Amino acid sequence: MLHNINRIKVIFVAIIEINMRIKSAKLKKLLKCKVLFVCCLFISLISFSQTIIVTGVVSGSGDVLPGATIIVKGQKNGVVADFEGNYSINVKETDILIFSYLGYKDKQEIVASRTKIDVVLEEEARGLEEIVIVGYGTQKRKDISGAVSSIKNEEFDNVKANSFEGSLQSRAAGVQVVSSEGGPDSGFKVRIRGGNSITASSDPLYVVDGFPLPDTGLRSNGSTGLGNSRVSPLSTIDPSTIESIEVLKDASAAAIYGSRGSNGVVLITTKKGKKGKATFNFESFGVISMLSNRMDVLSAQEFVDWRLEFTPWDPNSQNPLVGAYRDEFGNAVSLNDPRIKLNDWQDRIFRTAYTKNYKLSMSGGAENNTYSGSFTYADQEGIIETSRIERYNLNLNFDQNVGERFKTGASINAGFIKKNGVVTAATEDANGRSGVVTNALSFSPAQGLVQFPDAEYDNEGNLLSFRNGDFANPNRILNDNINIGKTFQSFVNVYLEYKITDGLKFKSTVGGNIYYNQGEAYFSEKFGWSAQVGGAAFTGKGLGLGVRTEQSLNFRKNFNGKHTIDVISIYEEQQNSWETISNAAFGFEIPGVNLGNLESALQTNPTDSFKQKNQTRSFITRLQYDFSDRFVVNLAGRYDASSKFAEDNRWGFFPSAGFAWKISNENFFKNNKTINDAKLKMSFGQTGNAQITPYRSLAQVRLASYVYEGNQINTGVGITQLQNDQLTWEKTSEFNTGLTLGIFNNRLWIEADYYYKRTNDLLLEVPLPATSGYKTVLKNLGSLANTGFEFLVNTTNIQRKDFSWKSSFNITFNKNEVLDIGTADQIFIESIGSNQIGDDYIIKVGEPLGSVFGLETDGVYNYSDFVEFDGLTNTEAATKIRTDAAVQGVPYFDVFYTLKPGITKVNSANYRPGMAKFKDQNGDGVVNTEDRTIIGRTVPRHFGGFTNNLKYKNFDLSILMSWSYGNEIYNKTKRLLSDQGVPFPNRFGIIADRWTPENPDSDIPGVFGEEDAALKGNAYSSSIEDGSYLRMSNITFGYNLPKSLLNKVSLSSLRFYASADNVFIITDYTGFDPDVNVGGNQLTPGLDFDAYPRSRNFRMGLILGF
Amino acid sequence: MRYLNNIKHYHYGALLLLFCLLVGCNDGFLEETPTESTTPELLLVDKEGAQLYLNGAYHAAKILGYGGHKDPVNNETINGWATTWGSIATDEVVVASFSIFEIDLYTQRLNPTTIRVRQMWEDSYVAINKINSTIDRIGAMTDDQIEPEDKANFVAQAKFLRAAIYFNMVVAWENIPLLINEIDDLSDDSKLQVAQNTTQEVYDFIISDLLVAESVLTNEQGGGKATKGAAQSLLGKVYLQMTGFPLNQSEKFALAKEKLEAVIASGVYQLEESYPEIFSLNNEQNKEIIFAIGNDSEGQNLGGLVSSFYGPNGDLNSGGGWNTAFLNLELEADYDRDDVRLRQNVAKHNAQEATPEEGFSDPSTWGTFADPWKPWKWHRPRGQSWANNTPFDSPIIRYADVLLLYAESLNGMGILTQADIDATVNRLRARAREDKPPTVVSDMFLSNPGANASEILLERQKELCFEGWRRHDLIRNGVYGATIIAIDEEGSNRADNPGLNWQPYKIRWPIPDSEIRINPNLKQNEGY
Repeated sequence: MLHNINRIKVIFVAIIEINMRIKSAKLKKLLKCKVLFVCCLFISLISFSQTIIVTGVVSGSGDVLPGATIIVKGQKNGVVADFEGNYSINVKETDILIFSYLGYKDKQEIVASRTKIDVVLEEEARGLEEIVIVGYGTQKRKDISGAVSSIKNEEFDNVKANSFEGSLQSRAAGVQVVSSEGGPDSGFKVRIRGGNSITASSDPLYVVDGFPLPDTGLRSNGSTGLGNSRVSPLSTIDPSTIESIEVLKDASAAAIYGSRGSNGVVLITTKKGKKGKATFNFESFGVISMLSNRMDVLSAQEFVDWRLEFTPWDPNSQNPLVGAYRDEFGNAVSLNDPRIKLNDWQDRIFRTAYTKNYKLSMSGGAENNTYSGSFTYADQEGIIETSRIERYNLNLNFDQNVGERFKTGASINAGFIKKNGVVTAATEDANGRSGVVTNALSFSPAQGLVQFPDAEYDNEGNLLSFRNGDFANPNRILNDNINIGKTFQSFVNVYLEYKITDGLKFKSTVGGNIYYNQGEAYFSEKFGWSAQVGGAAFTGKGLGLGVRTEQSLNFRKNFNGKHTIDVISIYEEQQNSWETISNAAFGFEIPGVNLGNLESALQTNPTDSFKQKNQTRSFITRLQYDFSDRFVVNLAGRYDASSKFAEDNRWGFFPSAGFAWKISNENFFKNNKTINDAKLKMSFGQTGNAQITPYRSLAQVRLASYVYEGNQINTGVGITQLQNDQLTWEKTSEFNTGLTLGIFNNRLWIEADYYYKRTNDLLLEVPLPATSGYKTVLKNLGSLANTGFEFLVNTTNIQRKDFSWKSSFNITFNKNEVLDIGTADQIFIESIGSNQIGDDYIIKVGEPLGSVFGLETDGVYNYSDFVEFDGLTNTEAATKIRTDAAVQGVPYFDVFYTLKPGITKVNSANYRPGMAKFKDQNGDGVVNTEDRTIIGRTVPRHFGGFTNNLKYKNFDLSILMSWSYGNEIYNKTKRLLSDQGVPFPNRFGIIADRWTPENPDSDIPGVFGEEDAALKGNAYSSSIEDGSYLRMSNITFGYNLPKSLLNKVSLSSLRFYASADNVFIITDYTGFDPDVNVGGNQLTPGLDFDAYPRSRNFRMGLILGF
Repeated sequence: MRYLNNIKHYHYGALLLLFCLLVGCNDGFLEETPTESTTPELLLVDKEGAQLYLNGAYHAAKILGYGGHKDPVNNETINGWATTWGSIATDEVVVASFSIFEIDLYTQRLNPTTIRVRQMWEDSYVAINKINSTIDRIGAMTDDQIEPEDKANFVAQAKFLRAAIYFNMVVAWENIPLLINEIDDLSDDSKLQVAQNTTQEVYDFIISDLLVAESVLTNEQGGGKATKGAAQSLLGKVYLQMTGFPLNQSEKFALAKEKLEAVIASGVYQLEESYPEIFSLNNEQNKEIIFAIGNDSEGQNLGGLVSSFYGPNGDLNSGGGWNTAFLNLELEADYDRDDVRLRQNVAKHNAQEATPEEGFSDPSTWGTFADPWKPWKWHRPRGQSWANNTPFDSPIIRYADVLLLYAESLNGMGILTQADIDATVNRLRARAREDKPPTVVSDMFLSNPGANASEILLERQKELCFEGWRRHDLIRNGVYGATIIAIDEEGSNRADNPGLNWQPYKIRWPIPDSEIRINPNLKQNEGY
């Protein structure tokens, strides 16, 4: 009997749940007989009792739950809690009350003789009932036929990432988030299910509270001058004001944004007010950050040893290099000699940095309105001296019912960032344009005895710069150069909703955004490359504006209790513009006068300006049909026109269809005790991409002036682009199938998705025979594919009254392959970081995007490769090479020998041991540029994250781990620091183990070893490294004061927490950090050069609620 | 309830109205109207528009000069024929061992993937297409848009520029496709995949362009514009080049003589009295300049990199160069010690220790070690790096060149006389001698044609070094290979000697591999 009762209870609860959810009388009718039957059963078990009034408060997660429903078990009647969570209900003593609230587990209380019952509901494990924002509306997870990742605020709020991408990182399957660098406001590269495009952008569409961000202006780095640092497009948003982040991954999900959805859509929803008591929160935290990993460079002694080898002693030499570290007899000077200036430059530019963050927020709501507002101030220092950002953020939301039928609301988000930056991710390694990190690594750790003619010194004789400023004193760069950026960004959305009849709504939305940034940089007239031009000032301003209107009609109705349809039709227009103006001025002669007085410059370059505008007009419709809560069909279509294409090819149609089968709602499944939720889904659809710059379909004639009479500039123009009426949308077709399982009452939740997507008609910058007069043309040509598998498991490992432990694990496998790029079988790309290496990335059919192209290194030529050393031991060989050098009167590395027959040659005339050796790929016996091959693949085989959340009483602990496996990194810093052909700069630590006559077992070329091979214009495989890593990304430990204590001090909540970011990392990578991707070029991923290193952070904070 | 119903109807109407307001009323909503560029159709409606377009053709022709200016569209550096072809792989300069891009050119290790060669091919054809566009589109303008005389004049100027670029290209590659019209459709691969023309066809086309320019343009100095004299001078040069490798058409000596004679007879051009004055920044487009590429440094990317690439030892700010090209010391040794051209063309001083004036005139500033000596001609003042954007015009043909070409053509015909030598070579020597006794930079005397040719060739090097014709001259005289083999200039920062890698097929450049891959109709030059 007891067993039966339990079963009945379960069925009963399920029925009521369905009733609550669908609120459909007709469906109830269907279930009526069952209900009656159950009621009869139930009633027969209970005896008659007296009617009493029960009151109480319903709360959950520390908040009251206004609108929670309270139902008497077994009866139809129930009540709803008011704004403060209070309820009052007439019941019998024997009744059982069922408390329910969306997102929380139902709770039952037997009334017994109590008249006050306060309940605290427990949050429900993620399930099919979860509400998911899907763009132009919401859906329940159970009704979704596409692939959507949803990350709720509670999952990332504890971690306090600096930007929303940090909140997203390693939490959503299929979403790859790679940091550009480690600085205070560094941007990220976000790829949803791989890169889909080559020339057009592969960045996803970001939608903030329904407003799609324009694709222009995002690449601006918020400062100006040199360097390629990237910032997040939403850097002005305080991540703690975000309620949820939804990622629409497949065509069915993204179809509603069809024309712009091919790279996936990231929906960001900010926190809204809730009906109920007004709350007021104060939050604050402080962070201490320090460098997490030093780069291994030569120690001062190792550097001096290298220098002594580089310039052998020669008493007759007048070369100042020779005497730099020697006395007049040629003996090496000791580093203890006070004349040698020793500096550990990494120690001198990195610091312990402090961050402060304060936030005030309030929210609440009455019968007909809700509101919320917050203000955040953050002051964050970077671990490189002088780098710092300050952020001010304001977020306001309100919704108001006006009468029965009207509803209106607005949301405003505004942020201002002031940045004091340093140049990182620099473009070039020569001409001194490299950034401070590179200079700190490469600046000489031991300044010698002589002063060089092409170097600059300060009054105390400290070296300031060398070789025309190619290398500059890192401390002076930080102190004398200025790099300031100011950014303002705001989003505003206003809507008016009108309920025409039951189920039919009209909504009109107007939204806008404004993005303004201003950058100023000054490079000192006192030293370095900029001294040659008397100081260089760069200023730039950019303004982005977007306006969007949306008119939608939404119809939702249930027929017969079986058929539910939900149709939305939308008309939308959006107009975006992006304009910049920038100046460069040189020659500042008044000390201390520069950016504030540009007219004092001796030379000012002509002002650069840029104005772009584009428009989109769209008709959108989406139909969702649900049959008896078992089958769901989603159909969506979007018909878009973009001004970027010529009239006849402007419009594109993007359809999609999705189908879901909620197996667990089938009769045959209802008795399954193990699996409580099961859903199969499948979708197919097409999305588009027009993320190219405007004006690409027009003929273009651009400025090309000429100088007559020696100095008279005459304006001229030249043709740069032909009219292209054929240009149209790039289209991605995607197939997705997935399975969702909830097991053991959702304590085990599994989502698995497989997808195949193919982008056709790529908007591709196609190489042309140059005889055409154009190197490339933008055409719809070629295709590429991404295939992948995503897997998400959420588990509730332990769920007890005082102790819970939940885990979440996700993993993504994505394979990217270029299928077709037209006549050209390859396209080369040159990455930033060196003006001495060309064509180091390649796009090739059959290979993934992001392949590094160059020569495979093969150690060094060694004694055994030469005729002259045949039969000699290593010691004898070393003696011979030293003797030959002495006889010829040259350093040992200028003595050349005869290669044995059959030994691979390089593009050189002379050979010697210790010279770099390369693999002869085509087997012709000589290594030259034709032996270049793919030497690195930067796409990971899989990546993911693993989160554990533990709660014990009022304590909580969360641990986040993340990894990436199988990706390679092109460490261009290593390449620069492996150079052994110029005397001045310091080098990578491994150079200490270079080849020398006495150390012939080394694979690392000796002094001039790479120079002599004369193939330096190419990438080498020795700078390709495994970028796999496993990181303990975050540990947070928190404590919430118990209510009893709080009541005494009239607080509603108080939380203390401590956390650590980047606790440790397991990796073989030798750069600062393997989570790196410098520069703005999406075709050169996995590049590390001059990157701002990552910090390890320790954070303490509190959240105070009134 | 009635009230509500009314409201409902009212609102339907209002919504409809709103919808109409937001949707239909802006037909131009999707049209693009950029203010950053224009179209040829909007531009070429009058003489002023045509002049702008022609100025753009001159801009494209900047590739003829010493290069280093930036493409205004993509900000890529354009290398120039005068250095990349005319100077680097010759016996004028020695490339530094760390000059990644130039070292393969200098050491004769070119292959079809060498970046510099590919850039020259691509940038030259881009320039050719822009000039073709000028010729075609201005040529198609109607009489009510532009006077026929103006049109003919503009087209003739552009034809001169086209011929000048093709002349470099045909010498460098020998086998090149001849594009004679603007490409106006990039969608048809079959039209893009052009085949090579014969060397003779290319020369014939160059000559026909120059003959048009000669017949239409006026005889004047020009101030940077193409003129009749420029066309005749270049015709002389082209005919003379045809007498040597690979065409070996000795009958062209007479045609060269005829054109060069006309230039001399015109009286438009004179020798500057002082050699250094030719290269002074304040004296550009002087009476000796027949055609020069205009450069300027006012931040419009209209300068070049010559004084960075060629410049004294020392840092840029002090007037030094980049340390990428050193002097071939044989050239220094060939000069008479008192030849003013030695001091003008060779930097022995260190820019940090001496001003350009001191470097030019004060022997005490000249370092005793020859290793760091640098090529020099355009003397950048101290304290001015022009942000690596130097303003000196790049001479393409000057009167001294014409005099030497004239002597060479007479010698080729076997009719050179001492009087001719005195009127040509010896006039230049007299100028180089300044007011010193005749034992200094002594006169040339008539000898056998072979010896005369060698003497004239050497004189051309002394007079015209770094101006971009050395490789043409060596090839024409059949001594390029021998010259390369003879280079013995290794040094501490200097690249290997090029002779080690020399092969006769390297007299011409390889067709870029990237072009052959994309255009199967192109054939690689023999040997590569």
